[in-house]
Amino acid sequence: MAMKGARIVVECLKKEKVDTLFCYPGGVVIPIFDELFQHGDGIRMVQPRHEQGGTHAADGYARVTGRPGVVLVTSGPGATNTVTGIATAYIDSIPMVVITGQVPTQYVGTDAFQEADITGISLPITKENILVTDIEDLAPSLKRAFHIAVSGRPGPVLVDIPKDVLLASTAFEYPEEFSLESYRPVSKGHPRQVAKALEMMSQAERPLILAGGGIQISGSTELANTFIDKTGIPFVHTLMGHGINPRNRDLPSGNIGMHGTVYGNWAVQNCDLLIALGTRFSDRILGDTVSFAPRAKIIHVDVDPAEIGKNVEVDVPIVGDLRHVLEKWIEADRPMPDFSPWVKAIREKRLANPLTYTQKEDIVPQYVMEKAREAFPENLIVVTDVGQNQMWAHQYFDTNRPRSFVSSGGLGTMGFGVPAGIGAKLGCPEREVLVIAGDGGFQMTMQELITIRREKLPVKIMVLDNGYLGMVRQWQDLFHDKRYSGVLLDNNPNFAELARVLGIRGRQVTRVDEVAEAMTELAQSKEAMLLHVIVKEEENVFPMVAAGASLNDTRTS
Amino acid sequence: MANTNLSEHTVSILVYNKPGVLSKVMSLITRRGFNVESVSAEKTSGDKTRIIVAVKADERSLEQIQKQLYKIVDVVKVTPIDPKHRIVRELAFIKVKNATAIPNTSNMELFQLVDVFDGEIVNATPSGFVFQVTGSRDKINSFISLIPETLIVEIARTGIVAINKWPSQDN
Repeated sequence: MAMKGARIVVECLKKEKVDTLFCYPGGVVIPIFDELFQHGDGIRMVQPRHEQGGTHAADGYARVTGRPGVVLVTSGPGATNTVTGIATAYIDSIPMVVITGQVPTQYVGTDAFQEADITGISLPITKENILVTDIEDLAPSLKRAFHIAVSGRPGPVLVDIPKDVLLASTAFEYPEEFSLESYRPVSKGHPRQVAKALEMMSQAERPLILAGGGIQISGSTELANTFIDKTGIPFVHTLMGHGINPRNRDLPSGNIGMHGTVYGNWAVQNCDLLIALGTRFSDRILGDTVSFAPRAKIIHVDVDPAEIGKNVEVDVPIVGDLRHVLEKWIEADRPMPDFSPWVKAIREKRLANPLTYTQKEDIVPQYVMEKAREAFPENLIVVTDVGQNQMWAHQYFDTNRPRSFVSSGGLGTMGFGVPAGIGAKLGCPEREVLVIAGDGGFQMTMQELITIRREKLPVKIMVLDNGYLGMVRQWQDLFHDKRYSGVLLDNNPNFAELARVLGIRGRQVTRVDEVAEAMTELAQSKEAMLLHVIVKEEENVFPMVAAGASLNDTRTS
Repeated sequence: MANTNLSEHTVSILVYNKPGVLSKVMSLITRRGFNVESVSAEKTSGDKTRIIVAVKADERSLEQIQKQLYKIVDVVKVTPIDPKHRIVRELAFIKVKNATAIPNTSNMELFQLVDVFDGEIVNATPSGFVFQVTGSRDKINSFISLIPETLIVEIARTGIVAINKWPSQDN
């Protein structure tokens, strides 16, 4: 039976078991919306207030579920509004399929109404993008998109479909398999390298595991826990590497990098073997490349060959799926020496350098973080925006479950928090979702509060309002003699009132003695709620390593 | 990446002949900070196209380019061309005015030059000529440099094509 292209799109989504579609209509995609109206059973259509919000929501959904987030938008501005969301997902290796409508084929290239060359625009920020020019290619292109988005190193894929293709008809057949000579992600690590790495671990005195986002992406958290327990090797993690939680509580953990812990950075600088798992050694982790981990040999496991040797020189490169490599390491059951003097040294560093802050009259964000952690259940999903709020959340919510710390790591996208929180809640409705945002980032996408209301999602939001773009102000404070240029946000409204106007419970907190109780109210609210916390204006995030400085120079004030 | 020890490298890239694949390859190379010195592309067999790119890069960056290229889904194979063991050619057309139009020059000198460089005169009219030369980039560059600049109307060059030789028998 012949089927229209628009219907084929809907049927492909069903074949891929898409249960949530972040979609915003427009001229050329009306045919798809029409088919969704009639045949979209089983697909929850979530309509954001802005396509960027929809894209971040799809991203949040993907981060907590591991399944691809799916976005449907129209041509031109609909498509270009997804760009920030796609770039955010791309750099953090998040699987996503973005379907954009395009002007009819015969108008492509004529500067037609709502025409934008979205395959051209999205080229450097997608894992793959496809302009479908023939109805016969439609179903295979969507199969290709879903396959490529989730396999190997995941990432966003964009499929651009001109209106005439949506209106053309053909027999619907969804390919069972996808196979392409030029696309064969490596799955197994090279046995000799895998064995060599283990050999080096057994001969090390001060080994250290650096856990990156690749661990949760590959579903290896439990394997990593087991491996850490088995070997007694201490570990540190990146912003994307939250979630490791070995049973052996004596093993110190901590985050590293620009706002990493003192002991975490110290451990990196003093280890003799660094076992980097699924990390791309971003500049926020490395600081100064030359003096990074100066005493260590480096083992680097990653599924993407291009990440190995890109930013640091590696002694043992292993290209492969972390799952496979960790399984092999665990199976080998190799006896390890006693690392306890090294573990003890890190633990002593930790005891000597705890995270500290001073809570006087003005509420400080670190205190708010602690109260939030006390008020919310342990299986909380934390979703952050970007900036100081993100770094404090990173420090104070050392999440012990995978896919439970959602944050724009690589791109650092302000405005990510609220919409990503929507996606996280849709992906894990049974779990509590707390969005932590600053007053700057919150205002970039706050229209999505209406989406929260419309979808009746009990998302909890905490806006830390210091009346500044805090992280930029911090840099101006430390490196530009306090010339606070362009960072003052002195006309912030009462966000709690704003929330109420939009139909969401809101509360503003200005006094320290209210914080704990207000946080309990936020945590226990059955419906969505926004807590607007007025915090100290000039509080800085420490520890801090200046951009490009050595991790040896981790400053605490 | 440090810009030390830059030298020209040639990379042969086999891709699926899909719309936009050439722009994907070129965009990737330029966005990763490499200067493209030359590019040529042509369909070679069935559904595949071979793109030959010369870039300025150091050894480590060259390795990185290759790995990045493999991330383009339609890239099938990336082969670096060994500078010591390659065959490389470029073709150029040089359109020149009839030399008699300019004092102190003669067409005979031009024709001798074409001869010395194993070139061909592929078009001849009273107004002027089109010469064709093939060979290494250096050879073509020196051919062009020997023609009086005032006579040159237009130059069209293919960019290099290159291939690794068979391994030699004695090693």
